[in-house]
Amino acid sequence: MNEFDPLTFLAVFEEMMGPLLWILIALAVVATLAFVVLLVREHGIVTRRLFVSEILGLFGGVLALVLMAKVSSSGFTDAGGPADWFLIGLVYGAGLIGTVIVVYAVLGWLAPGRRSTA
Amino acid sequence: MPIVSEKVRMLFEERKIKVRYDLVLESIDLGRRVATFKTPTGAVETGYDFINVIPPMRAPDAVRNSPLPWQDGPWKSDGWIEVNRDNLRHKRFNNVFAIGDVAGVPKGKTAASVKWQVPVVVDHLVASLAGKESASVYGGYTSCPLITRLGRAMLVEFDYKDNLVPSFPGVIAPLAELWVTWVMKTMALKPTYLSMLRGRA
Ligand SMILES: Cc1cc2nc3c(=O)[nH]c(=O)nc-3n(C[C@H](O)[C@H](O)[C@H](O)COP(=O)(O)OP(=O)(O)OC[C@H]3O[C@@H](n4cnc5c(N)ncnc54)[C@H](O)[C@@H]3O)c2cc1C
Repeated sequence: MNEFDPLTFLAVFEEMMGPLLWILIALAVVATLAFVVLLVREHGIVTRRLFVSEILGLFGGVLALVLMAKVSSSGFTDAGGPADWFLIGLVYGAGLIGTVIVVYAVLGWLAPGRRSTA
Repeated sequence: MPIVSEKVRMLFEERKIKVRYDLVLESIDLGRRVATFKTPTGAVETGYDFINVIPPMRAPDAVRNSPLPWQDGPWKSDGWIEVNRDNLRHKRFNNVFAIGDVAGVPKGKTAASVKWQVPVVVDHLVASLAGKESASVYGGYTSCPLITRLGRAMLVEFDYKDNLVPSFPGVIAPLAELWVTWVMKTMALKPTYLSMLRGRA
């Protein structure tokens, strides 16, 4: 490509996903905020909740890969080089971290007496 | 593009795909499923199950029947516009530029080339309006996501000199069949071209 302009990337992703892009960005921002607020209120991580989130995160990563395979009409068995493994790692990582943050935040805000645990 | 041609030759050989050059399609008998080719040694008839015909490409009539095309040389008969390959300015009409497929330059009949050509032409137009000269040069960049099978492609980018000019050196090797290139081709290219048309990319 000629030059890397973040606005170009935004334009391309908007063209690719339409309103879904903004919904996903909003979800990521809200979940991250909810996660950070929980950390502050509870003075740290709740280990048990994090464990549950991480277990679900493992599946979140798989789900991200399945989605990716579906929308790209292909699969990771098509991987042919390091750049491919990197992309697979990236997609899995994004699915995993995203799921962990969302699940942790949801569980934290739903849990009764969340402020007593620490 | 010699280096890519060699790579493709190797892929064909690996997959036991037979290749025959110097065949120009002359006529086709749809009923009998027979194609007739002109070859250096005379006409050859070949049966087929599936045929993919790529028509000869030439400039549209409005351009071909104008004074704009090359008056001699290899592009005369196709009617591509006679421009300087470096700045895309018409060789005879100083106030005319050509970008895209219609430009008579040795490489660059892709949308990716247009992306490289536009800034050069804009630079020259703006400089001309200001009574100045621009040093902006189009080097012949073109790009072709070459699908080699379902799920994999090679991101081939090159210039006038037949040099490979990879956009992601060290990450996406130009002659490697990669899934990431397929993903780019299937998911990102169309949105990229559409945003180009909207003037956002
Ligand atoms: C099968 C295929 C796959 C391709 N894949 C890629 C790819 O992956 N990446 C890439 O970068 N490029 C690709 N290309 C090349 C790319 O599509 C062209 O280089 C690009 O579209 C050229 O743009 P253009 O505006 O110069 O010409 P065009 O897109 O051909 O536009 C010319 C326009 O002028 C109009 N026109 C003609 N005569 C007149 C007239 N008298 N009055 C008014 N309008 C007229 C035509 O209808 C047309 O709309 C591909 C091309 C093909 C055929």
